[in-house]
Parts: sequence; structure tokens; C-alpha cells
Amino acid sequence: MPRRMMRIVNGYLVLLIAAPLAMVGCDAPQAQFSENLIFMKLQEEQNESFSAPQQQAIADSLQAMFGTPDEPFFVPIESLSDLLDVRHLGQAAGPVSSDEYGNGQGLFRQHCVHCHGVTGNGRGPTAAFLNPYPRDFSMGKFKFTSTPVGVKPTTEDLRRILMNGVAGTSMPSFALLSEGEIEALIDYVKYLSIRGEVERQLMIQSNDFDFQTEDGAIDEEGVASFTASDFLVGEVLTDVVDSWLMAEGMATAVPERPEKFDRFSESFDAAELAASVDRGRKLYFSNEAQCVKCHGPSQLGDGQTNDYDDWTKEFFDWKQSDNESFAPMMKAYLALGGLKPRNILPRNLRKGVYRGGRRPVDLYWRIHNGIDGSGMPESNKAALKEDDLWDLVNYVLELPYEDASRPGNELSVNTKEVR
Amino acid sequence: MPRRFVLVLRWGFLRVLVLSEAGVPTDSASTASTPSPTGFATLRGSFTLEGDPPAPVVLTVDKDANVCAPGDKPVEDKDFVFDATSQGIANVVIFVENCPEEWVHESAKPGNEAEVIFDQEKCVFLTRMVVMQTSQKLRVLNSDPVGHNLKVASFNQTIPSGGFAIYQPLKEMRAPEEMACSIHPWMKAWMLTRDNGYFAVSKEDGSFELPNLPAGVKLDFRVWHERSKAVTGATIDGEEQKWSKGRMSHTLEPDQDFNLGVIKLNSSLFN
Amino acid sequence: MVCATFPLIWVGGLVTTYDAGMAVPDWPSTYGYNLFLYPFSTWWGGPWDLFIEHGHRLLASGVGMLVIAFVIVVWRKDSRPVMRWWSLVCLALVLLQGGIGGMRVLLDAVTLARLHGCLGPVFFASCVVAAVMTSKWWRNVEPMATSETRSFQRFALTTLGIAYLQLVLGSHLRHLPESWEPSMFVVVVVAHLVVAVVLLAYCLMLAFFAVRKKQIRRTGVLTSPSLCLALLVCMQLGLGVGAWAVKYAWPQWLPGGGLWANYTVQAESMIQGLTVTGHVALGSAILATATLIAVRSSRLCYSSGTSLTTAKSRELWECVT
Repeated sequence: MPRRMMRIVNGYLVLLIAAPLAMVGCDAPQAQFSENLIFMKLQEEQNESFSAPQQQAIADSLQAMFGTPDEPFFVPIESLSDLLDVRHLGQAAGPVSSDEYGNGQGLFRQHCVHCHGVTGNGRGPTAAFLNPYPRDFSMGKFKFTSTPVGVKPTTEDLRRILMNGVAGTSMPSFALLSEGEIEALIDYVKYLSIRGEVERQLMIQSNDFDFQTEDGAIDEEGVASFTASDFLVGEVLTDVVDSWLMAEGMATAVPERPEKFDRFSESFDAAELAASVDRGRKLYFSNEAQCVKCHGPSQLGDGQTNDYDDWTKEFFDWKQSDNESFAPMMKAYLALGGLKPRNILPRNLRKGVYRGGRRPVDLYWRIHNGIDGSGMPESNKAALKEDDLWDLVNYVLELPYEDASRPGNELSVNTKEVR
Repeated sequence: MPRRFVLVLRWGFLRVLVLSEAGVPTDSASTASTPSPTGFATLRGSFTLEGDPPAPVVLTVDKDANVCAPGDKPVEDKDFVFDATSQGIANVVIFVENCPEEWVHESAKPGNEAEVIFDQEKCVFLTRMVVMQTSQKLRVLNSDPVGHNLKVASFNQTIPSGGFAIYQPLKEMRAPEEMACSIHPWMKAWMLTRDNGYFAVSKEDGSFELPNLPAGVKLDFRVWHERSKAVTGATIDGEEQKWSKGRMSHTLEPDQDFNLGVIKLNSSLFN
Repeated sequence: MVCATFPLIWVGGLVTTYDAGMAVPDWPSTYGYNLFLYPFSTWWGGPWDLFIEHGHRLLASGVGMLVIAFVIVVWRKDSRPVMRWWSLVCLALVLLQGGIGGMRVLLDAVTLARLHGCLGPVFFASCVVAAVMTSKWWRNVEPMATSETRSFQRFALTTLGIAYLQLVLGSHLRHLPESWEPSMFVVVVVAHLVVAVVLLAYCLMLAFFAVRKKQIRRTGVLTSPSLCLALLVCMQLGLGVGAWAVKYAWPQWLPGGGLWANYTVQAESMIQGLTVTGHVALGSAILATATLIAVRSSRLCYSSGTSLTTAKSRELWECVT
């Protein structure tokens, strides 16, 4: 009988079973929030190195205020019920499972963690492969909001992104999830964002405390004043929470789009729309709106092309990138988990892909409020009025259908090719 | 009105949280003996450089060159403004960090609403270091024939050529934040907003003056420059000062005109 | 048995696709019920994830019983020791697989889930081996240990190894540990792509040999599976790209980025579930086909028959080893 064959088969069997086993060792046993090491290094660059007790105090404070990825917690401050539902945190956190009635648990780990990471820092396993990179919630900045730059998104803004996804990116739509699951995820995103922002604040403000005495022993008094609730909750947490609460009332009210521009309305007027598009076109090239500066004379997004987004610029200063001392610094940040810097490009307006939503109201918000964290500024409030913005919206919506070879208005001085 | 909590932290996994009613004092020892100022005083001095100034950085101007780099001459960054004759360092900002509102002199009270003008010309922000009270408004102008935008903190708006925009800050800053133009990314300036008016930016010759400071109480000053960020040390009268995290403390006498004199900052800070 | 196992892998794949692994928190019981006594209506009409998880369990126990029946039949009817031995291997594998599946639920460990995912295709392949060994062809085959068949056999074994390596790599992309650094993911994705290309090359060459080499063609049992394998791998490449596209959207820099730009992935959608699970199941099918080829060609080379060539080759082999 074929002994050799059996030997080969045996060898194979061992290999087949051993191979996956061998890779078992790669896994960390428990989900944990990771420290924002990049931000810590940034702080250390500006001040002094963090001492061990200082790092410990920050980590302990965070855990006391926010719990762990398996057991999230939120300090029961007065305004909490306006901010989020704590029960949602429990539903969204933890490992994935569901009960006999199909109520899901661990929603964040089921749907989000691969890209956004356990900590919500946008550095999940798949991050490096995605373009654009997944959002890092910890800065407290969100791009496609109905609120002005520097203001948090409203709950509705987050819901819209979850329901619609972000066109042209890897962010999927979660429209097939139940309403309750969406709610839970929204609250969990808020929770992670607040946690991330509080961590940053703690790192900044810990510079004002003493954690070590002259002889290197732990300064119990300093640690106690840092971990006192008056400071942690009263000053740091409340500040961040208030910025979220404030946002709810700060959505830019968009006036009804004039019906004459709406193709599906009875009072649609093609001539009016054409005139509006023409005005929008003039505005696009104008000194008042300056769209052409970045989106380019042919609207392909080829104007300004050497900027980076705020998440990248936090540790990457491209103006220094030719500097000799810069390369090792850059290497250090990448080693701490920073993702390779990529240019942020102005949108190619001829593709008809609108990341923040394709409805006229979405585009109105984009033009009126700008895009937080990117180079896209708000419209100048002194120069552009409501009607002008609608003209621009109409023009942008028309652009994908416009002949690309149509000559622009006078080419502005800054359209020289960059790089 | 800050909400008050007593949060007892236990190292490890246990968390004990006790909520106390708003307004109930939680720590009587620290609130009982709050000092109050006995008068007002002035602090002045002058920041000078010790050693060689850092080599200037040449900017890459790749846009609107006819406006931003007329005659194709190289444009140097103004991140270190140094006056060789007086050895003075300009744009060093010094501000008081710990000052409850009741200590503040009438002239520096929060609520000042005077507009601050901020202009740009040849793609350079004319003010490199903007410090103002949170309650003030920044009127951003544009004297260039090309459009700009200004991006800082909670603001990012286009400024048409010859146009303007108004920025009302949302809150006090703990340290200066960068101001930038996304269209011309090499443009840079810094901004600091403080609730009270206790701040100064050193002039061309490095001198600064902080009048009407509360006397008889210990004040923490912070010293900051964009190249060094926190200024962590200096030499005054041949004596070396260590300013941990850019912080120095002084208690002034009423009506005193306290002159720190020549404050020498070592060039190693700015490399 | 083979026919019963393939759907099992499909359903098992669905379990992961919909993250339904923990839809039933206990094992071997289902919500306290005996596996077979769990009310049909709650299962059939219940939530989707409960439906597939419980379905997977039912199907798995069915396969388990089939294997037990198979062992009994083999021990009663088949006198070949190798066959008896192999039937026990199959049984051991199915028990192990069931055990790991159960532990995965009880311990809620993703690592075990991955192991479960890797072992499934191994069992599937072992069923294929059993099927080949019990076939009429196996008994009546004329051994043909020429250099051509032997090199073909070695080639087939290598292909099998690569196919399995690819499967293990794929399982890591599927059961993604949360703690992984982004760079790790990049490494595994690139490896998965590289191995995909290598595997395709091997399968095409195998198919090429199977068609061009006279002796291989004459066997009549290697050519069609080899062609089939090449076809499956081509399909698998397409499904793999598709799986990425429906999970992480079509990369903009790839050709056609513009056409796809407005496509937003819909999480948990039918197309996502089918494409991704299809990719997993097809992976198993590729492994099984590669096994079929490897086993058949091995049989040709190392037949127990007394033909001169076999004896010679055995001597040769012993000299070498």
C-alpha cells in the first residue's frame, strides 16, 4: 500500500491544521482603548516629556470617566440625557452577539471597528488601504455638517452620514440597520469622540500639574488635584460636552430653495434655472466666491493641490518636509500609528459625486459652511447672499452635464499648474 | 457656573461616584483663604537674543507669483523677526494665565468689543501674532488683488480682494493657534484669544509692557514664541531662569513699575 | 457527504458575513433547547442571524451523522486499512470542527472562529479524498508512474498547498482582529493578492499540462478537473475584487473609478452578503478540486498495484529519501 503517499498526506494534514494555529499568536486577547501617542508626542515637543505618573493619571482618569470598550461608562452629568442615551453605549460596545429576538449587541465592533478602530481614532486594521482614510473621531471634527466650521455636528448630521454613507469613499450606508441600531451607533460615535477630545485636553492640561516631586517620587497631591472631579468633570468633560450640546441649535437654517429651480415642481422655469446657472458660473470665477482658486478653471479640482487635511497637518508640516530634521520626526510619528500623509484634493465637480450629500440643501450647506478640517472655506458672508448661494448650487448641480471644453471666463492669475 | 461633583477615583476598575448638589462647596480649605489684590502694578521688559539668529526659511511660492513674489524674488518666512541693532525679538507673546475676573483691572475686563484689524498684503499676513480678547471681533481685510481665505480655530472664510470678513471667536485659547490661508498654504500667522486683557506682544526691539496687573497676588505668566512654542528659560541679569512649560511667576507690589530689564533668550530655543 | 458539506460551508460563511456567530449564545444547546428540539417556528421565522446560525448547526449535525454512518459502512464493507484509517480521520476532523465551532461560541473568541473557518475546508477536502478513494476508478486504476505523471503530481500537491495558504490568508482578512495595526492588514492584503496571482499561474500551468501532456490526458481523470480548477480560480479572482468592492467600495484609482464613484456600499445588503460568502465558498471549492487532482494523480504514481513501474519508482524514491 502507498506508504509514501500516506506520509505525504499525513504531512499535509499536519500542515493544514497547524497553519492556522500558528497564526493564533498574532491576536491581542482583549479590546482596549489605545493611547493617543501622536498627540502625546506633539505635546512633548512643545513642553516636556510625560512622566510615568502623568501618563498613569491620564489613563486612570479616562478609564474612570469612560470605562472600557467592553464596559463603557459616562459620568452622569446633568445634561447627559440631552446628549446621549447611556443604554445605547452598552448596546453598541462590547463583542458582537445578539439575542433570540435579533437585538444586536456590539454594533460598533460588527460594523465600524475594522476601519475606525476600537478607539475611534480612524486607525482600524483596514485604514491604510482606504482612500480617504477613515475618520478619526478624537479630534471632535466632522466634515459634512449642517453647522459652521468649528462647531460639532448635530445628531441629524451623524444620522445622515450613517444612513447615506459617503459617496466616493469606503464609508458604507447603514440604511438596512434598524432605527434603534442607528441611534445606538450615533451615540457611541459621540461617546468615542468626546472621549478622544477629553484625552487630548487632559494631555494638554496635564502640563499645568505636577506629577513628580523633585526627587522623582510621585507627587500625590498633584495627582489628586488632577484627578479631582472638579477638574476632570467640572472643567474638562463639561467643556467638551457643552460643545456638542451647543451644536444642536447651530445648524445653518437653509431657506427653501426657490421652486422655480426645482425640475419636479409645477412652477419650474427652465429659463430662470438657466439664468441662475449662468450667474452661478460667473460667481464661480469671481473674486467674491473664489471657487476657481481650488476647484480649478475647468472644475476638475485641479487648482490648489498641495494642501493636507487637519488630521494630517496635526503632525505633518509639509512646508518643513524638505527640511533635513523632518524625516526622522516623520518616521517617529508614522511609527506611533500615523498614516502616511496624503494630499487633500478639492473635489472634481464634474463627476457629480458629492460626499456630503447630493441634495441642493446639502450643497448649500457645503458652500455656506465650508468643510471642517479641510481647506474648503465658508462663503464670505459680506459678499455673498442667499440668492448667490442658490445660483452657485444650481451651477454645481449642472456642472456634470456641462461640456468640459466650454471656455471659462477670464482665467484667474493663480491657475498656473502646481507641481 | 461650573457644575460641582465629588468624584472619588479609585485606581483600578472600581469607580465610586457621588453627585453633590450644585453650589455646595466641596473643598472648604482652598476656597476660604482666597487672596485678593492690594492694588495694581506694571510689568515690563525686553526680549533679546543670545547667540546667532536662526537661518531664515525660504518659502515655496507656487501660486499667484506676480502678487505674492513680485519680481520672482525669494520670499522669506517671517517666523523670526529679529532686530540686529537692539538684538530684540519681536512677536514674543506674554500673558497672564491665572487671573479670576474679580482681580482684573477695569481697563482689562472681559467684554471689550473693539474690533481688531487684520490685513494681508503680497500674500503675507501683516500681523504675525494676533492677540485679542475673546469678546473682540477680528475684521479680516484683504489688500491683495487676489482672493484669500483665513483659517483659524472655528473660522474658515473666503476674503475677496478688497473685501472683508468678521470673525468672532468662540472661546479663550490656552496657547496660540495657527492662522492659515488654504489657497496660499505658505501664509502663516498666529492667534491667541484671552478673556481678560492681560497680554502683550513684544515689539521690534523686543520690549513689552503689561500695565494694570493686580498686585499682591501671585501671577503666573506664560511666555511663548512660534519657533520655540513655550519659552522654557531665559537669562536675566546674568542669572539663569528656568521657566517650566514657559511659565514664570511674580508677585508685584501696588503701584510698582517692575522692570525685568533685558531678558536674554538663547538661540537654541529657536532652532 | 461532499454534497452535504458544501452548503454547510456556504451557510458557515454566511454566519461570518452577517456576524451571526453569537446569535445563539449557548452550545450545544440553542437557547436552552436541545439542538433538534428548538421550535421550528422560532427558528424559521426568527431573526436572520438566528436563522442562519441555527441552520448552520442543524446542517452541521446532519453532516456529522453522515460521517458516522460513513465510518460504519467503511468498517463493515471495506477491508482496506487505509480506507478505514481515513474514515476515522474524517470523523476526527468533523468532531474537532464541531468542537471548535462550539468553543468559538462559548468562549466568544475570534481566533477560534478563524480556526473554525480554516478547518472547515480541510474537512471538505478530506471528504473529497474519501469520495475518490471509495470510487470505482480508485480500485481499477492502471498505475502510470512515469516522470510526467510524477511531476504532474508534485505540481498538483504544490498547487494544493498554495490554495490552502491562500485560504488561511483570506481567513485573516475576514476575521480581522481589532487590535491589528493598519500595516499588518496591508501586509496580509498584499500577500493575499500575490498568492492569488501565484495560484492562478500554477492552476493555469496545471491545466496546460493536463491538456498538452499526452500521458496525463490519457488518464482521463485529471484533465477536466484541472480545467475546472483554472476556471474556478479565474472566477474567484473576479469574486475577490467584487468582495472588496462591495465591502470597501471600488478604489477610485482603478480603471472605472469614475463609473463607480457614485456607488455607496450598503452594509449588510444582499449583494454584499452573497459576494463575500461566495468568495469564501468558492475558496473551499478550489481547495477541494485541487485535492481531487492531487489525490488522483498521487494514486496514479503510488498505486498499490504490482506493476513494474510502480515498484521501480518506489525503489527510486527510497534511494532518494
